Amino acid sequence: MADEPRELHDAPPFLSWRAIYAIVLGALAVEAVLGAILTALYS
Amino acid sequence: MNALDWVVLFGTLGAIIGYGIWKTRGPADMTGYLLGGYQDRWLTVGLSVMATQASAITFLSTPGQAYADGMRFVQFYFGLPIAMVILSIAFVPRFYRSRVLTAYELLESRFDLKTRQLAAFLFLLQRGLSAGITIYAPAIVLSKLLGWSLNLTCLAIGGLVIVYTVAGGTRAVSQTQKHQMTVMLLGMVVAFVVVLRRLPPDLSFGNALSIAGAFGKMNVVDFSGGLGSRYTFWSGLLGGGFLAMAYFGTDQSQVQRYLSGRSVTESRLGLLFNGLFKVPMQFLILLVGVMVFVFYQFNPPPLFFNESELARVARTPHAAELQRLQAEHQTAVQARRSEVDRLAGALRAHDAAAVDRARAGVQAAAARFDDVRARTKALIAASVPRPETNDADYVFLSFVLANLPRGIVGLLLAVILCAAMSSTASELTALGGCTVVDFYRRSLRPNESDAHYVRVARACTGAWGALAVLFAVFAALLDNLIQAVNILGSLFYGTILGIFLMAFFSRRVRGTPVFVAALLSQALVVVVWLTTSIGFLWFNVIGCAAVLILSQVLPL
Repeated sequence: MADEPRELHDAPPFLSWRAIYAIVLGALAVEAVLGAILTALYS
Repeated sequence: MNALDWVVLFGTLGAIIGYGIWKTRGPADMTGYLLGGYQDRWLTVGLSVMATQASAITFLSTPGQAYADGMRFVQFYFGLPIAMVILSIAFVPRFYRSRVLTAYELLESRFDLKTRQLAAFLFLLQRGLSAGITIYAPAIVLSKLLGWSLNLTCLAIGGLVIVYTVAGGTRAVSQTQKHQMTVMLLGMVVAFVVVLRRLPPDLSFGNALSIAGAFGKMNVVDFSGGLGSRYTFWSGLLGGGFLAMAYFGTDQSQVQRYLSGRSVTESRLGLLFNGLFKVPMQFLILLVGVMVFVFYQFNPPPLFFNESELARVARTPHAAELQRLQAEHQTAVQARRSEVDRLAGALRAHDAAAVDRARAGVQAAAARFDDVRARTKALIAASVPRPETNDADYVFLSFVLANLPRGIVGLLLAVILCAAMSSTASELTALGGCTVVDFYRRSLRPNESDAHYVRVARACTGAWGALAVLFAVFAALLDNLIQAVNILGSLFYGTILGIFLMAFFSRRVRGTPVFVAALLSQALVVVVWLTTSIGFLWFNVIGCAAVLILSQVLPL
């Protein structure tokens, strides 16, 4: 929208929103798996 | 503390605050004062959001918590990335499109004035009380370990924050937080490296983790169920997720941070930055605590990390009993050291059977060590008035002061003071802004000029700051109140989140059913807290669910 105020601009400067959400949630999944591995290995 | 530490400490704090004030000098309108005029980029938003959540207690208590209880606290943050994604999709665009200065303003356009002011009142009550604790909690630890005056420490932290928040508003807070967060992250990485270098040179990192594991400290993830257990994978994912949604989505001290972004995109990216890096940051801080624990397996720890409490006991008729415990403690430390050396040797030799035998020996030695500590705590409780029997908050700073090199001590004290100031600054600007926008401008003086409201916002920010400092100064007299304040936060968030979810996702329900449902849900959460042993993270789920259900079934 040409007349849309600047603060309502909503497009990521890199990748897409779906890809960014996937990275955030994927990182959480990796962290949980790593945590489970650390627990199994060292507890 | 030597001269170099003082130079690092004051140099760091002075540079950050001076930069923040210089960068934000000049007049501002209400949008500029409360939301920084929509100028911040996503990295500033993200660091500011993280700095707001990271209070000094994060850096004092979290390593101490890992020292005492292991890594499992990290699960508390597992719901946070999911919450950041949901907020980015559902909350941020709505806040921007409604052009609100506070989160609660949006509730009036969707429901009515009473629902808006109920949510704003709950925020002011909870955040107003906790602002004092944000100052008091680090001040009490710093004053006891460094011999600083408690009142002067509270006044110094509070006074500095008041100066730059009143002067520069949200923009000064964001600008200082960006650099404060950088110092905090740098400080924790340095602490981690230094503690690793203080471990025995022939002990590998893997073997250090194995020794921590033998004491039950490597309990990173626990998939067991049960509502009574505070930190499990499920309570973190669900309860922690709801808490994060409520805190980041409805607490003005956080909403104000990301509404200062240049656009919806910048705010969303800032929140997602927090979602990506929060769990690793907490993991690092906890791992520092676990490595400090391993360090103290090879070096004698004090009997009790808050040694001022032992000094108090030594001045009572129980001094002889304390001396006996000190002697028992030395014996228990030596016995534990022998068992740990045996375990380290077995680990180096990759001898699985010897490792198993050594682990059993370590656990028996740890039980004797813990027994002496438990009797010491009982002695403290029986000997002195207003005893402090939990020394977890003192573990990390005691280690830093006794074992870290010159300059690094100053850096880590800067980390703690930066954290105290960054979270307090967000709280004060949010409290001041909410008071003016949701009550003063809305209900008392609706037709004044923008400049008038900025003046009142500055005055309210300063007044909330003065109240927080006063509360901090007198907090030592109010032990039970402090406990109540810490619980208060988790009591209110579920209800406020429920109100916002109804506002965003239910088109049918009107204001009065939501208002009544919120009051009933709040009462329900208080009853659950008083009558059951359910972990506090679940209060957020219960309060939120009760608002969602009751507001739809109430015949109003």
